[in-house]
Amino acid sequence: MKQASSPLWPTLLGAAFLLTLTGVLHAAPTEQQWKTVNHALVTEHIIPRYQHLAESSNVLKNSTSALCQQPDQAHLSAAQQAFHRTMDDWESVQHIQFGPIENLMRNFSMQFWPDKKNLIGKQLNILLAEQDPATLKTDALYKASIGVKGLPALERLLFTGQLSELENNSYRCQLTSTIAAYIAENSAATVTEWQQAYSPSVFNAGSEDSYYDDHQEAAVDMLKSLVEPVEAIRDQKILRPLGNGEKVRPRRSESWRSERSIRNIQLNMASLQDLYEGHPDNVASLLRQQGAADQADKISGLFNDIIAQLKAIQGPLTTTLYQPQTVTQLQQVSASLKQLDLALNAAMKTLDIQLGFNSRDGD
Amino acid sequence: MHLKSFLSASIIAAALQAPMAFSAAPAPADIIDNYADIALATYEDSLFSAKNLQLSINKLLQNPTPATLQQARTAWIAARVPYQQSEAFRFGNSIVDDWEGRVNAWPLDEGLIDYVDTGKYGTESDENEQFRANVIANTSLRVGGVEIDASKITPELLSETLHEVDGIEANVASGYHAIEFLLWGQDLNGTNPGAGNRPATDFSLDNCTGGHCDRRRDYLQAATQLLITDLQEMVGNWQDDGAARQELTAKEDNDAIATILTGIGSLAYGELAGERTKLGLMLHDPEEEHDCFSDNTHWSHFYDAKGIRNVYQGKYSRIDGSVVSGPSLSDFVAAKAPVADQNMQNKLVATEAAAQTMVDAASQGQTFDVLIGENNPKGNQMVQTFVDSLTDETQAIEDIIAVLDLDGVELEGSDSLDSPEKVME
Repeated sequence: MKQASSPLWPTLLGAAFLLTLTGVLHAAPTEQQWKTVNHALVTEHIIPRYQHLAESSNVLKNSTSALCQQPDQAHLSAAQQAFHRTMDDWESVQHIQFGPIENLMRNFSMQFWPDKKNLIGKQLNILLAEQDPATLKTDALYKASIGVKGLPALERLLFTGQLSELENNSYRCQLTSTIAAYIAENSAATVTEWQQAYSPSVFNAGSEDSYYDDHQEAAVDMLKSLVEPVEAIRDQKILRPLGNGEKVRPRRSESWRSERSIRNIQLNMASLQDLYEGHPDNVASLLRQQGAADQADKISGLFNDIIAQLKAIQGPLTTTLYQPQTVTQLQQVSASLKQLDLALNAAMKTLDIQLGFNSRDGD
Repeated sequence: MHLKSFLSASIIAAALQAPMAFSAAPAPADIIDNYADIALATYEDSLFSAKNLQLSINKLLQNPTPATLQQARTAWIAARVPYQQSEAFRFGNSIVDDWEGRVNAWPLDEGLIDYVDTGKYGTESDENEQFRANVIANTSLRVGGVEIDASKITPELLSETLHEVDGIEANVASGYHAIEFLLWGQDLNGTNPGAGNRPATDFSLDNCTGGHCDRRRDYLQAATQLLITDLQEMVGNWQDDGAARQELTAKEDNDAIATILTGIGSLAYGELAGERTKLGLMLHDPEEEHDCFSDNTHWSHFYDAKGIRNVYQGKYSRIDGSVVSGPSLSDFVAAKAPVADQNMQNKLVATEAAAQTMVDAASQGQTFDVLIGENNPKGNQMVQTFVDSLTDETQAIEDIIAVLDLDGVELEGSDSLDSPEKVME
């Protein structure tokens, strides 16, 4: 299993899935109840997040293009800020791994991480050395490696190296702006497809045109997006950088080059809490309707705890991870995430939901 | 997901409606004995062919010429034939899975071992401080501020100190792929045809190329000796009183059958279809192929798939041509659910055909790294067909697990494969 480790987020690392036949438990939420929650999540949680991503990545595209025309410190800073806003929006929707984001492997294209073999660095260096003008079209990136067309590649280009390398409309600068344009295209296509094709499929679950046999099946995708990232965040974003106890490994943190590793986790957790209880018809209220208010409260409390714990952590991890206090704080977050994972899995039983395909079991 | 439940339901229904005139199912104990016999034979063959590899490597070191190097490479490729078939025993049998990293760890940061072309390889890694440690050129390493003495390259140095040094899995110091790197060197052809092209003089004491030939020779000898020692250990594990056989026979019938299915399902799906194939297709990277230095991946994949077939059908053709066979999982499933058995048989045939297509392409110069190149849509499709056939085969295994009512079986998965049925056009 060690050797099978997968370098992909979010269902990474030696994944496995459970094969169990569905068993009916006690009184479960009705189809109508699932339909209501699904509708709320699509319209209030998912689509707005993809809209934000489409907007910020469009700004990023324009600001990298402006940077190439006028490569000065002010334009570089503007492009870096635009990158941060795009990352904010991506981290806020990273947990949604079904629907149009799966189309054309967009999820892997947006962010290939963790990159345990340094493939992004290697493949980018080859592109920069070859300077093939054909690569400088978003069409060419569609068939390129997932390593060179996503946010991690862009981060390397914008946050390492010298401003001088971006001058004279250099190949490096043009590649930067091409990747940004590609990300903007993918983000726009994702939101369009959600609006035009995928949300009707969720709303009309059970109909002939839907991908889903019933509303509960669609809810399983929503709930996987709630439950599975918790363990993934703990393992990939916290435990791997913490190392095996002998030494810390800050360069295993997500987005360490742009010094936003902790902020990413904060945004992830805020989004998961929003999915859980951020809108009137939500997962927490379903739990309460099942008579499991104690479970609902416990989960809510854990979300609040984790978000507070994260707020207290100083960044950037590239320096603060060497401080024992940061290690202790991250260990606390990890323990709380473990509690949250257990509580959410228990809640799935209450809601009579079998997540199946739990792609992280067996680690 | 509805695809899966639909298939399972229809197969259960078919099984229930089928006439009850099948031959009796073999006893699970007999299936397990035969399975363990095949495991033993496969590891014995792996050991035998590794010893042949060692003989060829000795000849190479006595007289390093293009011809003796070629013979050593041929012996390595032959050694892969039984070993890859043994991978069907890896998942499920924890004794094998825990040991596997010593002999077949992949992918690797080969810069740990020897010189590399940094233009293709890169100069540093976020993950690995020993990315370019180059033990052959350096008699000591600094790992986390601690000095490691590497002045003598021995099997013990590789297994106890260098392998996974600094806790990094990509620091692969031993096994088939370390030896492969030493025999071929880096493949610098990208996704164009051509494998690694290390000159025989890299092993010459008189006419040394690449520097430090004495240490490169020591490394090759140490890694080969270690491979043999490790394979001997696994042969022992499958003999009558061996730990792996004992562990399996001590299990309840259903658990033992589940172990066998876990092994073949996990190899087919998460490992072979996912990590070793689909990920390469998404990265279009020439090092994202299992045998990346030798460009022998087509055969390694073919024999992985064949290993699955051996286990399911309870039959293994040894490298000397003799056959080990006996009561099989297939017999067992056929007696209880003939539709599920026939479905699995069909999928095994389809997978072998898809693997054969890649083998045929390789013989025309389209090796796996060429097939996954970003400007090779036909090649990409050929590789995707292999992924799809393995995914279908996994589906057939899931259906068998369902009809046999084996609870809680977990198959190794892969992110690069999850939920493909929901992908929009």
